[in-house]
Amino acid sequence: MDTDIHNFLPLQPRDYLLLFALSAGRRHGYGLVKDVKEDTAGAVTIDPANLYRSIKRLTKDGLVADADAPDGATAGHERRRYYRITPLGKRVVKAEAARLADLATLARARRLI
Amino acid sequence: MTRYTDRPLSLAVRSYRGLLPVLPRDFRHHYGSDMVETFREMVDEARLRGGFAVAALWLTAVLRLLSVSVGEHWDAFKNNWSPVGNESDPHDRGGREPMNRIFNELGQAARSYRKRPGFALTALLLIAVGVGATTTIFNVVDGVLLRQLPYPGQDRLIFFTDPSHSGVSYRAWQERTSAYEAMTAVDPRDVDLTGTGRPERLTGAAIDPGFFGLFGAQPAYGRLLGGDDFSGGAPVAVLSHGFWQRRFGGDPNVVGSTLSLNGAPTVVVGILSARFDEPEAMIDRGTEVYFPLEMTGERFEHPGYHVLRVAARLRPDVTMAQAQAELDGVASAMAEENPNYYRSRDGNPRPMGIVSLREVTSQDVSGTLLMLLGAVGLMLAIACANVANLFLARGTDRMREMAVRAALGASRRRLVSQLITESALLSVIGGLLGVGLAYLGVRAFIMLSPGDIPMMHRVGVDLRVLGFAGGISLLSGILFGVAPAMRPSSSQERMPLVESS
Repeated sequence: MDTDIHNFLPLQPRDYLLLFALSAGRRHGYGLVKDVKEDTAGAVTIDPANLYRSIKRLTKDGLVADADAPDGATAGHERRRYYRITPLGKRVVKAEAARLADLATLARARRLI
Repeated sequence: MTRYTDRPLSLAVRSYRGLLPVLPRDFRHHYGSDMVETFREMVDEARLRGGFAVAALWLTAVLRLLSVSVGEHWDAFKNNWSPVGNESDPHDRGGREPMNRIFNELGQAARSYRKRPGFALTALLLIAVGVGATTTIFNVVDGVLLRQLPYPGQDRLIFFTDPSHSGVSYRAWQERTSAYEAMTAVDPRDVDLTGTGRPERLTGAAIDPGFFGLFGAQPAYGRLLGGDDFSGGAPVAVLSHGFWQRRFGGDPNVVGSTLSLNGAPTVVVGILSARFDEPEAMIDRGTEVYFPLEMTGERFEHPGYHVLRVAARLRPDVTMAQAQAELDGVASAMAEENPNYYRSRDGNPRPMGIVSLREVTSQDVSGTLLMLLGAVGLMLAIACANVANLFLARGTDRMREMAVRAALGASRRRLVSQLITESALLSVIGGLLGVGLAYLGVRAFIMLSPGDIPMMHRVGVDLRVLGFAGGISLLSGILFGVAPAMRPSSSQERMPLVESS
């Protein structure tokens, strides 16, 4: 239901970045930190504590779920936990992206950017 | 906690892992090892950019870990206490339940500080240093000056001034005064322990029969010195608990054995209780062996030998002034009988004086300590003033926000209570940091103290001190919080909204 999605909007910037990174595929904690850093050109570095606090909340809200480790994962890392985005999470991050895009369009129309 | 690689963890990672227990247990069990692993990889990556990058990463991660821990504890607390469990609905802002309102206000306060971390950190630092310094010094003052001496009738214990007195004076006081219910003398004397084991020079004290009774000493094993021991029988001694532990490893069979003290075979009749605190005005701290004082021979019968330190306990119905008057009488009589020794050059009787044992124990340092307490108290006041200034400046910044909230229907009371919550949050966190600082401060103080501050060993952070710290942080919170909080409740609150519209 769309009403469900709108309860989650607007997303906190950190949650958006995490969902955005997960929308490309499953990741472990450090993978998320790396992706967010790359996606923001180094502007955002998430620390482990806030990372897992966000993951905990997103998991509880049903936007993120645990995932199996990919087959190629090295043996030493087998116990490391992976996360994936849920269908609901995907819809939320899409809606948020659309909302941000609308805002950006508005800003362009006013020549703010 | 599981580790993923066998490579030894760096100090940065180990210390980060060491901080995990600040997190709620559920969170830690679920995510702790992943957090450490993620942090380890971040450190590895930062290491390529140099030591400074690692240090910066560590500092940020630790600070955020602490703030997340507060948030997680908060959530856990809220879930346990909130009647509706409002976490499930992100748009529930509460408001009716008083508990919810407090949580909301605290949440708002935390958010407003997060927006301006510089402000919050500066204020926290000021409060923490102010509270920490004040608490450190209060701690020392409390231990050295305020706490009672650990002796029976401690407020009636007095010390005969002048460091030492002759046996003749002591006997005269015993015989001719009636103001005291007990009196005792010691002759501090080191002794040599020889015979089995390593020879040692021991800090010792020859004590008269009243000593242990006056200071409420109890034996841990055996007995203390009694009547027969003082009548010139076989030499006996009582050992201090510390020495007994150090030299004999706490072996109870030492009681009844014979030691060679100054070459004389001496029977150990007892061990003092560990709780016995040496009266520092009378004997050296750490005195190891006590033996009977036999007041015979020229050393004690000649008025020119000043070897005894004398203390007494006043009778409950006698004041210091009465005791001093009686002593003045004795001084005059002694001057008549023995002018060579008891009359000063100016012809007057040599004065004899008494002073309370508490005063003589702490007299050298009380002035300095109280001055220090005053100084750090002023420092705390200045810190409060600075924080109040910060709040005032911030209050001006936030007038518009307050005006908007008032326009949206927030009551004045609500706005003021929000501001007070904000300052209370800061003062409580600052106070906690301050207690941490004080804990370190006291240890530093003890380490740096020259060793001649009496009763320093009794100084330690305890409930009284924590109460003091809590009190002063709350007080400072009120000081720097309430004054600025009063401003938005004045009629000026409308101005900014009008100006900006």
